[in-house]
Amino acid sequence: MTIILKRNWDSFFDETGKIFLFLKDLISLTFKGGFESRTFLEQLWKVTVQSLPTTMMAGFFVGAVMTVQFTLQIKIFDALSYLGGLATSGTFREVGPLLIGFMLCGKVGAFTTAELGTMRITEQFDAIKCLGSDPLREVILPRFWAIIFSAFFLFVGGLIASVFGGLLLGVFFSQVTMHEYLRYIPRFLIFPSIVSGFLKSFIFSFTLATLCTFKGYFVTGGAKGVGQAVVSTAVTTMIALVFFDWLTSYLMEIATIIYLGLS
Amino acid sequence: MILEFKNLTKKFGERTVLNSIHFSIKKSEIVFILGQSGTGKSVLLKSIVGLLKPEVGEILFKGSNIVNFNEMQMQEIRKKCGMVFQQPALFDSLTIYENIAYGLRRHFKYTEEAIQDKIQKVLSSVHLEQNILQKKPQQVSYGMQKRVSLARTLVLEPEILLFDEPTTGLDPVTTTAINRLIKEVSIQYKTTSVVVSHDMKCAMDIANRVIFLDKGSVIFAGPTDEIKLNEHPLVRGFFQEVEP
Repeated sequence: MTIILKRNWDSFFDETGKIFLFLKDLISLTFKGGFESRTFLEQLWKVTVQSLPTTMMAGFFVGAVMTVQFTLQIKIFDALSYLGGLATSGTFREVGPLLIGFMLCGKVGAFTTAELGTMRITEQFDAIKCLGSDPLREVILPRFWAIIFSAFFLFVGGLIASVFGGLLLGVFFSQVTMHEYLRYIPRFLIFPSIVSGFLKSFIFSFTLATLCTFKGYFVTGGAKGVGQAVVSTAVTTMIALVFFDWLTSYLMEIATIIYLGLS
Repeated sequence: MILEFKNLTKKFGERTVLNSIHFSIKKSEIVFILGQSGTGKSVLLKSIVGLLKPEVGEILFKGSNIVNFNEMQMQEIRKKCGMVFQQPALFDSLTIYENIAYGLRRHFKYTEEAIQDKIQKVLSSVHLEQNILQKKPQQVSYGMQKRVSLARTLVLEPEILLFDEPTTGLDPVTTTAINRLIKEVSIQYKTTSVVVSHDMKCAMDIANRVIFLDKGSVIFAGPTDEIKLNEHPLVRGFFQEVEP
């Protein structure tokens, strides 16, 4: 048991180290000559268009679910006028980015890992090297940045859709007027909440882009290896998102206390 | 000698894949490297173009040891040693024209007209029609993809052509055609060809010399007409495939 735990622990640190080295290579390549803009734009378009409907839908329902949940709680206290503020703030700060992140993890992360893994097992990366180029610069770097940009905008889009989802359910399920629902949003959705939502969106995009490109680029073991890498991307990214969600929430909580103290 | 291997050893973890390999290849000859799966044939080819790094030993290309070359120096070697992979390894998002032009654009600074001329020439060398140039790789047959892959390497006019199991996954007719093509282009482009294969019949037909690998070691290296005299069971086993 101890041996198994030690082996897992060692492989965790080994993998984490490799991810950081991979990230270091990508960042240094970005500053040393940038990347191919055509592939970047193609990927940006592809990722955004493919994932926009799913993300918007996910955001919409997250907002709707939050409204339903808050309705059941605050109805007891006869405080339904606060519904919009509470549901929107909760969605923006916590649930929205995380659930949209999980959705993107399955959609963008799994797709990218499978695509890159297939390129690896069909020797396309080796071919790129032999034909005078660097697969990291040529293939990985444009995808990495495209996923970061695209995922960030998808997160923001999803969060905006969540407000509409919440509003719709607020009106039809919770029986509050549109005006009543929207009235307390600015009071609850204070500046740190918006920053928290955007910050999480950026950190989650960065994590997703790093892990899915890393897992895809280093696939071994043929078709089976690609399958394993796709699963590993989904699981690892979700765990990483939960961890960063906790970390950002914790730090933002401190920042909020400072902000409220100052104002 | 254009290529020499001296005491070449490659390990993957505890497993020794190449064990003190020692042989050389002369200019303009066609050499087949034969052996069972997992004996290190592909590893040997990939070591030449720096895709894998051996732990011990030397690979001499025209007298220079290239084992410790950095990526920049290795790019020069890759211009001169073109590799045709086991899979066609074509880029799905590019047209066949762009696939063939890929290496030309990165290794050299030719004008678009020069690139077009070179592509037209190489296309006729691999017996492909001009009308496939604007197609995507997935729109043509697997055999055609193999030819495109050869054209992509050949267009760089390398001094050495490295083929990693070029006929894997092909039907017998296409296999024969590809094998003939290897001989044709080797003569036409005056290249040295190193072919990793399981195909003894093809080796007997087109190779000048054959190297047999078993468990990472060379068990036979010599002209094709000496194979029948060799008593090693593995060599005999392969030879029986041709003359039962």
